Amino acid sequence: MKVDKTIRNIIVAEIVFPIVLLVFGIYHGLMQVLYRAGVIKDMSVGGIEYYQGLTLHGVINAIVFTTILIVAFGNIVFLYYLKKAFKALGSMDQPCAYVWWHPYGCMGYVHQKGKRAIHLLPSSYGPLDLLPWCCAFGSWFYNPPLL
Amino acid sequence: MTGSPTTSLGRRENPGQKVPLAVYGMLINHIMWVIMVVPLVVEVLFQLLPLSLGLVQEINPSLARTLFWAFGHPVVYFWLLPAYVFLYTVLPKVVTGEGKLYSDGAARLVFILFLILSFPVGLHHQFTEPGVTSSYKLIHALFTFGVAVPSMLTAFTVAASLEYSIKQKYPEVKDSLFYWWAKIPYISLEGNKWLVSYFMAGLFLFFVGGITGIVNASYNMNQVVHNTSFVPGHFHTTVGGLVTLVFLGMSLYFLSQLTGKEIRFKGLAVLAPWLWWQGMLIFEYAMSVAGMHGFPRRTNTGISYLNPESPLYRPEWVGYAELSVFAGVLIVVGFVFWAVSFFGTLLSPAVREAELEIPTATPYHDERMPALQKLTPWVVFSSLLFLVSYIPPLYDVTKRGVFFDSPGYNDKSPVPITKPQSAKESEKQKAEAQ
Repeated sequence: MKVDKTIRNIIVAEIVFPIVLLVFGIYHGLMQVLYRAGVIKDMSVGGIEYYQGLTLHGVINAIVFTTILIVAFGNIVFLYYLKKAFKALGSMDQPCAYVWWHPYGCMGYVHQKGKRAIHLLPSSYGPLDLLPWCCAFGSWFYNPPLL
Repeated sequence: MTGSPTTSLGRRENPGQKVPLAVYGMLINHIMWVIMVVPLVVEVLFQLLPLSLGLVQEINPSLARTLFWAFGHPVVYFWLLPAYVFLYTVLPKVVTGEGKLYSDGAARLVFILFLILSFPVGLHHQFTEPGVTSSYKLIHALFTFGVAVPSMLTAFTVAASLEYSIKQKYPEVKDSLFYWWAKIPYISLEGNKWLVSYFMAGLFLFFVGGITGIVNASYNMNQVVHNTSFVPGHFHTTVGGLVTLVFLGMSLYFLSQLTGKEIRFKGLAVLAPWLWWQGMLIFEYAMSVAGMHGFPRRTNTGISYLNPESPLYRPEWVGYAELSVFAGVLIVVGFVFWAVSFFGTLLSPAVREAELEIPTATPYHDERMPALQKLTPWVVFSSLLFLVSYIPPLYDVTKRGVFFDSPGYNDKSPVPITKPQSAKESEKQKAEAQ
């Protein structure tokens, strides 16, 4: 099927952006094995401390990358299978794709890179800065419009 | 809600027909997200936000953890279900070009089972949480075994789909028990068959992930592996295995479709998952065995336990950590292969008009499954079960007094050095009565 230019650009952005972030997420994964095996014998490399790197590896890969890509796949699946069902309807509404997810993802990533306050993983300890959780928060508003 | 406005419209236009399977799965996935985010929002709004703004000086960490894992477990199924959607719709079709999904009804049942069973299980991340009654942990453990069932159903259905499709295409293996596995195009550049390498490498990793998941789910075996590297060994083969590989494969496919560009460096793209698979398998082995020997997670072991200068030095862990470096490098090389293909495709000129086609397997058995048509009763049931399974542990970590009423300890004494508040009160009352 042919896809309208606007929605196509949004979906392509929803695919490319998390992949770019994944590059950094995987870099931090490599750093993890190097730190833990003692190949690196320091607490930090390039201004990023071990626990910051660990948090970045987890949050970029398992929260930001996964969620944005799943939203992209949701858009694609709804668009493809339901648009096919609505051929008779003419111009059926394209599934909404809200772009303000991306600012949250960006903010979260830049924030973590910039601030030194994140030392401990959120699942175990309370003290954690707010902005990275805007990613999760923002998505809550994202998903109902998708439906 | 019997589904979104979009799907309800679809049903009105096509009465009596089932919602397309991929839509069914993704819709359930998004409904699950809306439910699972509730405890996370509570934790963020009422605990993390006030704490980080300085409005409160302390929060209840047991409550924070309990709320987090109430979200933290279902989220892994939020990651997994889209991969299952593609396993059911795309893989059977592309494995031969004309393959079929063995059972559409089984797939729908799987999605409903995840809708219900993803939620009442979060305590399996907290088997060592002090203050939560062990019977509640056991109930969550039993439900966790329950949530393994839809994955086993998926394994069966996918294998059956592969077997049916391969045997249709290659009648010479029609009567073979296992040999037909050899006919799957594990490394093929023909048409869309390159996608098969992503699915198969992912599935082989996920098999290992499922087994280590059963270990983690078992209340008793968990005591051996909790907080060790066994746990990252498990989740790198699940989310870092099947989920990531399917996502990478489908991302490359959809990029090519939606930008009208030909996939570049297809040879690298088809090899990447096998490098990833090899690396991740070795990583998993190293992390699991080291974990069973006590190698911790979330710790900079390089400066401590693996540092010969340190009094904490543990030479028996060195080999596993070094193996994980080798494995990590393999994984990164695999990723680089894929990234070269992805960015090479992205940066190449368009060769045709942008389009969207998803190779979709038709079902071999297309059961009616009327009970699974309407989602509302299942969503209501799932939410109620979530609530009921969490009320007792939430009571434990708040009212029952573990946080506010614990006796005081320090690291010099094996027994409490101060009494809990409530004990002091009752002693005071006894003294006054005399």
